Order: sequence, then C-alpha cells, then structure tokens
Amino acid sequence: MFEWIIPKSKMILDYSYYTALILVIVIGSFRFQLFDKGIKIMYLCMVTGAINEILVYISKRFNFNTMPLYHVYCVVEFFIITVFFLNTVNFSRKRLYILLSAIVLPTLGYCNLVFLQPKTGLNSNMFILESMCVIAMSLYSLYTILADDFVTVVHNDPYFWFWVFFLILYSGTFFFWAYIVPISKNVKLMDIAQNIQVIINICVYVGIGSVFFFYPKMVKK
Amino acid sequence: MNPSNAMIVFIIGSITLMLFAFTLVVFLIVHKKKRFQHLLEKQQMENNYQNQLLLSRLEVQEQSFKYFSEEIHDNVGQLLSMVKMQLYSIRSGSHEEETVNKASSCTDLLGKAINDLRNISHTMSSAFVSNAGLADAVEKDLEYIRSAKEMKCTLHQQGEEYSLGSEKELLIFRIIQEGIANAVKHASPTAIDVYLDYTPSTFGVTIADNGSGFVASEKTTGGIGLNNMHMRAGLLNGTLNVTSEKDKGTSIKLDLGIGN
Repeated sequence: MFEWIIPKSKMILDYSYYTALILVIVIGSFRFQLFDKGIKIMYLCMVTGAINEILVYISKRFNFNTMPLYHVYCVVEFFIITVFFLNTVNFSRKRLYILLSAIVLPTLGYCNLVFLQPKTGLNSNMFILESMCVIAMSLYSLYTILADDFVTVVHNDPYFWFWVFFLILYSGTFFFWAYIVPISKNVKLMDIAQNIQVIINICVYVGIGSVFFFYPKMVKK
Repeated sequence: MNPSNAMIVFIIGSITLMLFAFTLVVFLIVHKKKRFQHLLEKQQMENNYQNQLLLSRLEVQEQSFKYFSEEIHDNVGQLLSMVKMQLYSIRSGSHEEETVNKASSCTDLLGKAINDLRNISHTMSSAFVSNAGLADAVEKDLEYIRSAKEMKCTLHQQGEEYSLGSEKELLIFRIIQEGIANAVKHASPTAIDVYLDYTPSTFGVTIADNGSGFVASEKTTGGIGLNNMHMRAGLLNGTLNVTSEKDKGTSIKLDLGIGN
C-alpha cells in the first residue's frame, strides 16, 4: 500500500543518509573556526549523531544489540539540543536551565530504562518526550523571532534555520516514535516507516550542511 | 491498534505536523519580509519628510540672503554711492590741501567699501550663482576674500566644466562659502585653495587651507557651519569629509555622483 513512497533499494537510502551525515561533519569541520558558540553546539550534536551511527554500524556488524546505544544517545542528544536552544534563544537563567537539564534528562532516561523500557528494548518513550520538547522549544524560538520587531530579515540567520530544521525533523519523527510499537509488528510496514524517517533525516542533514557551507555569507543574529 | 491503522495514523500525523511546520516557517518568512518592506517605506517617508524640512529651512535662509543682498545693493550701496559723490564735490570744491587729501583718502576707502559690499551682495544672491555659474561665483567669492583679508585664494579647476543644475550649484556654492568662512574665522590661514574636479561620473570639491587646523577629537560635535555643510551635502546625496591636523590646516572634501 505504501511502497510508492520510498525507493525500492534500502541500501541506497542508507548510504545516502551516511553520505549526508559525513558531508555535514566535513563541511562543519572546515567552517568550525568561524562558528559562534550556538553553531558549535549544533556541530557537536551532529558529531554525536555521527559517532552513534558509527557505533550502531559496528554493533550490527558484530551482531550486538544496538538498543543500549540508543538509550544513551537519546539522552545525550536531548541534552545537547536543549543546550543549543538555551544558547541561541535569550534566556535569563541559562546556566540554571542547563544544570536542570543535566540532572533531569539522565534521571528520566535512567527511570525509563529501569521501570519502563529495558536496555535491550527500544526507548521510544524518551524519543517521544524528546520530540515533544524539541518541537516546543523550536516553536518558542520561532515565536521569539516573530515577537521581535527589530528582527526583519530571518533567512540570513543560521539559528533560524536550525530551529526550522529541528521543527521539521521532530514533526516528522514524533508520530513514528508514538506508533513504532504497533507498526513494528509488521516488518514490511516497519521498513517503510524507517525509510520515511531516513528520507526526512537526509533532507534535514542536507539543510544543516547547507547552512554550515553558507555560514560565512549569513548574517549572525 | 493493528499495524496498518498505526501506519496510516503515523503518515497522516507526520504529514499534518510537517505541513503545519512548513506553513509556520513560510508565514514567518513572509511576515518578516513584509515587516522589512514596511520599515523601509517608513524610513523612506521619514527621510523624505526630513529632506522637505531641510529644504524649507534652506529656502528661508536663501530668502534672508536675498533680502540682505537686495538691501545691501539697493539701499546701503546707494547711500554709500551718494556719500562718495558728496565727498567728490567736497574735494573738488575745496582749496585747502589737507581737506582735499582727506576727502581723496575717504573717497578711496569708500570706493573699496562699496566694492566689497557689492561683492558680498553678489555672493549672497542665489540669482548670481545661477547666472554666473559655479566656477565664476566661487572665483568672485575668493576675489572678495582676497581683497578683504589679503590672503592668497586660488581656484583650481580640473576637467571640463558642466552645469550641475542651478539648485545643486547653489547648495555646493553655499558649502564652499561656509567652508571658506569657517577657515577665515577660525583657522587664520595665509592661503585657501578651492579645487573643482569635474569628471563624467563624479563631481568633487575640495576646500583646503593652511591654517591652524584642529584635532578631530576636540571637535566631536560639529558647529552650526559644519552641520549646515553636512546637511547640504546630504541633500545633494553626496559625501562630505573633513580632515584636519593641528597647525597643518584643514581640508573639506565634497564628492557627488553625477546622475543621483
């Protein structure tokens, strides 16, 4: 029923995904000296994602269970994204919020691991929570731009684009994590859903890579 | 929930959320673009309003100049000419050598005063600038300074002279006058040089003196004269740069793009 949405070859998609991720890392490394603090955090987020993908790839090659990796990665990624938003949006008590995130997020991850989803299973609860929080943070960040009358040109603002990419990425993945348990009962449907996720990820990575590439030409907020 | 239903909810939900995100982003970009346009228009209107105000102010100033010019020429000038004629008659009617000598001396001084007043009257009149042209008007002004202050004043002209339009030329002439007056009043120079530089795409004026000059930091807030010059340069869409060094003189440079 849904085959028309995705290319037939999963391998092509996977390699496109890895290529996009590597390109983002390479472009970012060339531009790294020019980045301000917020963009450096964003780059760190990409590097963390790449490291996780490498570890997942290696684990799969050796037939290890990759789920524990996602348990850890989700918390780390969530924390880095939170720090990114706290750095790019003007918050008065930034350090307090970072400290709170550093305490609350691992605690939630641990609680989820112990009481709800074991380390050998998928940590979809944390991913759902992450999606909801990132969507909320993106919307709030975009609202700050909307409310600020002094900001008149947004398309030259790299932060703006990263907020947009996060909003699009997590809007596209929220329902995946919410319905992954029933979907996973059907292998074929699961493949399709996963491929849709990969396509969304590729699009977002291409966008992030473009912002890294054109960063010198962009006006910082 | 069965997998197919879950898949449908997943796809519809994701599409809806992503569409919402796209709509939001497009709305934000369009809204900001419109806001930017609105601000630009507002700025433009403010600039136009400011320019109108400046023009009105300058018009009033020009009316005053015209009034003074006519008064000097028609009233004071005539009176002094009559006094000169009286002195002539005293001189020719008197047989005392001392009286003749004093009358002659007075006639000469009066002649010089009448001449200076005529020059002042001319240079104050806007009609004179439009009739004579910029270069001749500047030359006339320098001639007056030369005779009144006994300093070396030279006009240098580069390129082939062309008309910039009477309104522009009047504004430029007033800038030059202000520059020269400032130099004479504050810098006590021994020489003033005015350069008119005509090129096909630009027009430049430089007023340079060898007077006392000033340190830029000491003159952070320009005086009325300098502000007037900047104001006029702004109306001409030109750039005015003042460079000065203590004891080495001052240079005022006005640059205009032709076709602005």
